[in-house]
Amino acid sequence: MSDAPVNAIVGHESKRILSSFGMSVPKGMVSSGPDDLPDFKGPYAVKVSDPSILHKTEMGGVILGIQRQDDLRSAIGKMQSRFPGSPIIVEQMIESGIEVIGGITSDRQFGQVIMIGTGGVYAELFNDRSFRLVPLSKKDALSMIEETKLSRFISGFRGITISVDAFVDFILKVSNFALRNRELLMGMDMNPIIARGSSFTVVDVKIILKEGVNGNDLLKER
Amino acid sequence: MLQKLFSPKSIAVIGASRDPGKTGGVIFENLINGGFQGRIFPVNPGYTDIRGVKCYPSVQSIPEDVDLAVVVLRSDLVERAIEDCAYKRIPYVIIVAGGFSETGEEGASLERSILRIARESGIRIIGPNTVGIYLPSVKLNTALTPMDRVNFPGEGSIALISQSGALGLLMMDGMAEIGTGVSAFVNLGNRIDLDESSLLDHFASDQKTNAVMMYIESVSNGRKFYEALHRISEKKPVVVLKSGSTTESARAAMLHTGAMMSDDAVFHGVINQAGAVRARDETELYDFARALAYSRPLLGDRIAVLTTAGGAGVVSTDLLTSNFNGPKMLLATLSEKTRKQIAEFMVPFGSNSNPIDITAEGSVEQYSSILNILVHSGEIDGVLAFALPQTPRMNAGVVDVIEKYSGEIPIVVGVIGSRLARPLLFEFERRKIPAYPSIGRAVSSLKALRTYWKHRGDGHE
Repeated sequence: MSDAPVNAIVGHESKRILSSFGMSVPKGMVSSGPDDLPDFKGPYAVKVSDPSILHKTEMGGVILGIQRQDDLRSAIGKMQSRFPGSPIIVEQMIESGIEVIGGITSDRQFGQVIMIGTGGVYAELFNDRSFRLVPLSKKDALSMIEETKLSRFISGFRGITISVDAFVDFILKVSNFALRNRELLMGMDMNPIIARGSSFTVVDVKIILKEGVNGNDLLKER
Repeated sequence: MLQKLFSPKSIAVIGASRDPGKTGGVIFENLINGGFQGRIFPVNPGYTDIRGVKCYPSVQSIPEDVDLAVVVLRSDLVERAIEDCAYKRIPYVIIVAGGFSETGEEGASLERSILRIARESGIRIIGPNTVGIYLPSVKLNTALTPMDRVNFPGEGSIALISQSGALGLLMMDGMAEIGTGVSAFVNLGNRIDLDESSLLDHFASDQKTNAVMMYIESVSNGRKFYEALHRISEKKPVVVLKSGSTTESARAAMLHTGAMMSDDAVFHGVINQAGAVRARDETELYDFARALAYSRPLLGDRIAVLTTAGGAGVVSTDLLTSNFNGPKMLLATLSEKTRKQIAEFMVPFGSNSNPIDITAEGSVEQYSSILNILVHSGEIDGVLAFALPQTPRMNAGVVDVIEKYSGEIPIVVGVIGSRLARPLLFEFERRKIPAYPSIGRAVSSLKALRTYWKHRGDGHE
């Protein structure tokens, strides 16, 4: 892991930004401790929200499937003791679906690119992904989906179907976000994005900004 | 644009030599022996003539207009020569010598000085560090390689752009193996001025070129390359072989997206987004280019396989319908009516359903009748036809049959074997029908054809 200071936005704030660009994110709140509980229903996920942690799951920074308020309190407490000083967020868990990874980065020869692929904790292992230059046309988004195994879910696989129109729409929103913020963004990771039917919910997102830029600058672009 | 570069009427060879051991000697000799159809002016203050051709002390002393100068001087003498070309108002210059940016800062600085003169005067430059161009239509060949070492292709409809000189020449030698022709060959070299993007723009509007194949190691400007590739792909197909594509991006590991990015993955996306076709080695490069340059558009996935050898049909089916070397394609489902019609032209133990096998009993006439039924059935988008002349009732007449129907439907041909097969391969190539000496190569080329037309045929927004 690099020691260089990274201008990253994670957790609640990064989701607020995506939400303002029309992408769906789960309900969530920043919890200051076991007594600071959400006003929305469970089941809940408790996560550490620290830009310096890339693989949260492996570090024990994610607790999922919490139903009862007691368990929620203890999960928040546990997380605080594991990661002293790091913000803790509580989110409403969404219905399961296919885990998709999406991202924005910059290629040294071609500039800003978008990636879409099979997501989840094993995303890097499967390496099932497709890249396109920004901005994308609808046709580009379609061919991008076709290049990955995610295309299998368009016609339905093991009871799960994802809407191709919703998928294209989601990719075009990412493209739009990338294009509008081209001068401000270094990159972005969305993993996982939970896809099912026509819903695409960004469960985790990390936005990396160029030096001196802050999250509010992005919001103003809208 | 670049008109005079690709059809020059007069050439100056700056640094031409009488010494056949020197670069300036070999290149001049190649130009003369190649039979260049325009005027050649050797330039060298040391001679009054070279091989009987009047030699000039400087380009300024040439009494006529010069369309193209080939500079065969050492790198430190090139800048002065370009100044002379500017004074003489020569529009295009090929700089052969190496010893520029590829050797370090001193060479890079020389390139900048040369480029400055070019920008001020409007001269366009190919190179430096290049074997130059080969134009069979005007018999111009600036390559250093002696003509008895490699074969140069005849005139054809495929343009070849190569960043590497050596590999470019070898690929031409390879293409010449079955008589494939080229419309032009350009070696980019260090490409300080004319680069792959400007050449794509040129070939997009070049009447002689139906398809472009390119070998590149890097692109001089990624975005510009993508735009040019996208523009030309809307008009004609481009096949790209890019090396160095396994380099992983070292940085950006703070993002999964960065960790999952590689030059190869991004380039793959760029090729698909632009609507071009990717090749993974030099054979695929010219295999795919031939299918794309010669065949009619393949506008659907439904393929009929026609063969006289059952095994070839079965292997084809396996490869066509799997992910082998490209997207899965469909073995066309033939209607009861079509199958009945086909059955009339084959022995009872043949197969009248796809893959269609008329067996070793099949004749050229039956082959023709079945192709006719298929073409008019409306049930297929293309044909993979095996031309196997080894059986008694088959012969070279199958070429005429396939040529006839190639005008109506895309046909890619498989030819297997050597004794009778090789001459057949030449004959198909001569008639610009894409034919391949293996099942795998025929199927891969058919898929490349589909990949291009699927992107283009679906229409752009």
